[in-house]
Amino acid sequence: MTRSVWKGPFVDGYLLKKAANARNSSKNEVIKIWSRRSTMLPQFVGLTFGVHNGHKFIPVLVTEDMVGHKFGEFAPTRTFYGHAADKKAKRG
Amino acid sequence: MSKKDNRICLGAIVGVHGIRGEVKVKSFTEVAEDIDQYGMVENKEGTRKFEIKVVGHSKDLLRVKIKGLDDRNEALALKGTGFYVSKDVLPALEEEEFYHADLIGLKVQDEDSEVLGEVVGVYNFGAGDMLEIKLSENGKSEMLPFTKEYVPTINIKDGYIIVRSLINFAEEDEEEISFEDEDNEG
Repeated sequence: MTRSVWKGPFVDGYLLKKAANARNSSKNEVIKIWSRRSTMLPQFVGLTFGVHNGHKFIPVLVTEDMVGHKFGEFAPTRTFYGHAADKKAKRG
Repeated sequence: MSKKDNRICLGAIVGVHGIRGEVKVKSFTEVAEDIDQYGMVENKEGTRKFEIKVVGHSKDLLRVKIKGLDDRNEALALKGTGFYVSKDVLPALEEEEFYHADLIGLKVQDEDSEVLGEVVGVYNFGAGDMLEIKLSENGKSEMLPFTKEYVPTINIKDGYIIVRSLINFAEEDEEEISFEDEDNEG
């Protein structure tokens, strides 16, 4: 069952404070978070979070498309092994 | 760099299909069906060359026909064989694009040319590309966003990248993250 709309999106309270602090400071730092269950809000767009995956922090730069998704979706907890083959990466 | 170091593995034979020598192949390419787009492939040792053509799918594997191979038993003998091609056959890249195969193994240096570690993986979990760097200092690995801000210089020819800094985490302020109630922890 989907979450009731009247409740609004779930976000851990401390995360809002951390995001506000990061916005106010001019330094471009990565915000360490363990709250994989929190929803990405519009005010997080442009910030980079280090989302804990159980043993390290995965950098997640929040973009507009990610709003409404949970942080945990972008930091898999299982180790991924694959072949490079012809796969490409684009420097952002 | 030896000829063998300059190759990439496009896929591997994991089984056979039918009695006419078709093989089932696990493709490692970005688009699985592109495995036959790079011309002749060879085995790991470079002793045999194959002309391959994708003829269909078998669940999440590809059904591939190897030219000149029409017998199931011969096909079965090839089980486990990898398909290798030279990196030179890969198409040219757009600006700011890099092949994973080129990035993996590069030395990681800071701006003072001090070696910090080595690139051991390139991932994209949906939030942009990132490099996994194995630090020479403690053997641990760390993720770094693959952006100009973090990785301003990439020199594939000489085998190194320069990173401006490893990830710069915001300082933790204990008061800031004190939880006001039990339900609000994370």
